[in-house]
Amino acid sequence: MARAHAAAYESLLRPRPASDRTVTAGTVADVSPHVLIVETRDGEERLALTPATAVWRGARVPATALRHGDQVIIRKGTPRGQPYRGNLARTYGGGVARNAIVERVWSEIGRATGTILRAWPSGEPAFPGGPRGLELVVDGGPGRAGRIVLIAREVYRQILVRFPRLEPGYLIDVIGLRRQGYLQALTPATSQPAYRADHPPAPPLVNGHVPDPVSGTAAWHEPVDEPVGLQGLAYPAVDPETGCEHEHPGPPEGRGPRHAEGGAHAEPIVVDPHAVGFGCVRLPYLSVGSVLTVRNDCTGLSAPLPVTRCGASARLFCDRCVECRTSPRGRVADLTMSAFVQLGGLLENGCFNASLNWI
Amino acid sequence: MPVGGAVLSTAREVQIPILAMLLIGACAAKAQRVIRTRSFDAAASPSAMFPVRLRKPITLAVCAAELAIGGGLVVTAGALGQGGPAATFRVLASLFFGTAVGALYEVRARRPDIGCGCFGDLSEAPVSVRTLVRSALLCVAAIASVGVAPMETPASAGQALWLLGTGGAELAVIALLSPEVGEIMVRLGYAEPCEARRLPVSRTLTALRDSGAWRHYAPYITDSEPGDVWREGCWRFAVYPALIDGTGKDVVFAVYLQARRPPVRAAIVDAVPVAAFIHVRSDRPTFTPVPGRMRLHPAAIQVRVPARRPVAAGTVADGSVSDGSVSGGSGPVVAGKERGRQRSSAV
Repeated sequence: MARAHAAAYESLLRPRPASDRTVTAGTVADVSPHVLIVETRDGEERLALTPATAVWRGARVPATALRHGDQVIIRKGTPRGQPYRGNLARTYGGGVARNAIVERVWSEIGRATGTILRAWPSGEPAFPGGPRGLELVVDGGPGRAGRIVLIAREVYRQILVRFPRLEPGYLIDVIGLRRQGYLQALTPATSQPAYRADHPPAPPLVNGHVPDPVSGTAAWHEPVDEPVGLQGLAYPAVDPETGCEHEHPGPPEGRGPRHAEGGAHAEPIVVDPHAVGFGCVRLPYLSVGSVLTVRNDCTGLSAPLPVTRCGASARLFCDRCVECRTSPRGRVADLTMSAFVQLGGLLENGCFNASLNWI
Repeated sequence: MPVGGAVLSTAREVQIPILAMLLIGACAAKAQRVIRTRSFDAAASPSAMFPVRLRKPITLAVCAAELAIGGGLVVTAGALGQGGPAATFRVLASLFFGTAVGALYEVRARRPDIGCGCFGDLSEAPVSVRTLVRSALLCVAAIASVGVAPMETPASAGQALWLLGTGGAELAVIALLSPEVGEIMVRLGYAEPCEARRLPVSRTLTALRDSGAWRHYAPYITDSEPGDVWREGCWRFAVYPALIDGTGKDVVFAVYLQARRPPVRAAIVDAVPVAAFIHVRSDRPTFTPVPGRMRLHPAAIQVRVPARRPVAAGTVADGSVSDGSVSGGSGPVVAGKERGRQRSSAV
């Protein structure tokens, strides 16, 4: 499996000129009101900021709120499709970058998706009897370590509206800011499925062949053991016979900001997605390396993407995306951040309505 | 009695059994779901709009109301309970369906992602105008049933036919308005698609070793274990190293995912790091050197399992998306350098 990943990544990341890419992932080296300099795998990239540039860092913020060292993912564009000809964004070779205007920046955005393993109150209430925050240990599924999520009391009620059962055994999917060792949850990425993670609904029955395309929801995940700029997807129906991880999750990536124990020991796996069936969308079994054409039904953008890892835990989520219309139930793809942005998705929204062509 | 009046009278008479059947059926479907999932809140139904602590009692109350009203309609359909009790149950049915219309309208506006849950697992499609119209129609039917005389055995065959025809027509209209009917039809005729069929690798390899393709290449194969095994929908692939004419090759076998006597095909590809193209159609597997889907082999062999349709140019082999292909959504294509290295041989 590891060799398959390595070979896939080697091919996937065969570098194209940075100026040709519309999505860049890297670390902020410097920022001013007009220029953003990002350290990427291929070196430093200098990009122009405009008043229309949207910057997310927990919320919509001005570009100057970006900090040195922030992990960012950037969608580039050119005004009215024309190449940018200003002096702000030149490549180090001296040529003008084709995609040098920053359209959107997401900084330190993170996501916790999975089954709640443990939950405990956090922090002090604002007033006696008032709401407190919550800390959770979330199991991201096979092959992924558990993760600590902090829900501050300021957003607790907002998240509770969409996730009324923040208790072990139930599913959670929240978006927030990556902190040292934990995720600070800010917004719900979807609505909580009403069932416990180990009791998902029966999958729909498909007569004949699996339809092509298959429609549903496309979500995104943070890179686990894969490069930040990888274009690919975790596929929910990787053939379990030939390479979908079954190993137990490791301990959480870090410790909570206040909780001393922090789940440092390995938690037992709560739900094995392989044991709960197909999930709620019937997908064909494929393997790591298979290529699917993923279409964003909201923007009309589509792209062929390779399966880069097993995404069996996505099968637990029988939710719908209402990004543009109401999507069919179930997650059909768990995209890398870069692929999600490339296809026109907004990371802070968490999903888009998607169709997969697999043949 | 004029014909129109007779039809109207017959239509009013058939409402009671239809409403009773639907209410009791809805209650049974909900109960079946609760028993299967062992949870009251598993259903994504309108109760999801209420706080968690209220969902269970609301689900129970709805189910109990359906059973009570449906049973009451049956019991009071004849001479028994005529007058006050019969009218009460029919009015309650009207109120129930009227409330349902309002609730479904709210659900559609506030939670467009959840189904009505009317018939348990069968009602998971989001609430649509059809669902709303169905509830409104049943509300009208319940109102029409108020004041209907006790049901009696039809006096003649003609009257019986009238009743059956009217009832059948109404059921057909309800079926047209019910997304659940499609789900029932799928379940009745279900056969697991080969793409989603689970079959152990050991069985695939056993079937492979019983095949003529294996016997043909067995003398050249240098390792009894496959170097890689993977799956693409209905086909499972296994790669074996081989020595042919003193040159290291890989033999790629494709085995169809079926339990007995699966079709097996094979192709010889140059060993590392040559790319090969294998064309497999579900209905009629063949090997032809056409570009298609990309499979990344752990040992850097790239075996491509192409699509049934032509693939457009414009995408690079690294799987990333060129600016042009994003808007067009083209299929995967091999980079020029690799295309020149393709090797494939049909068996």
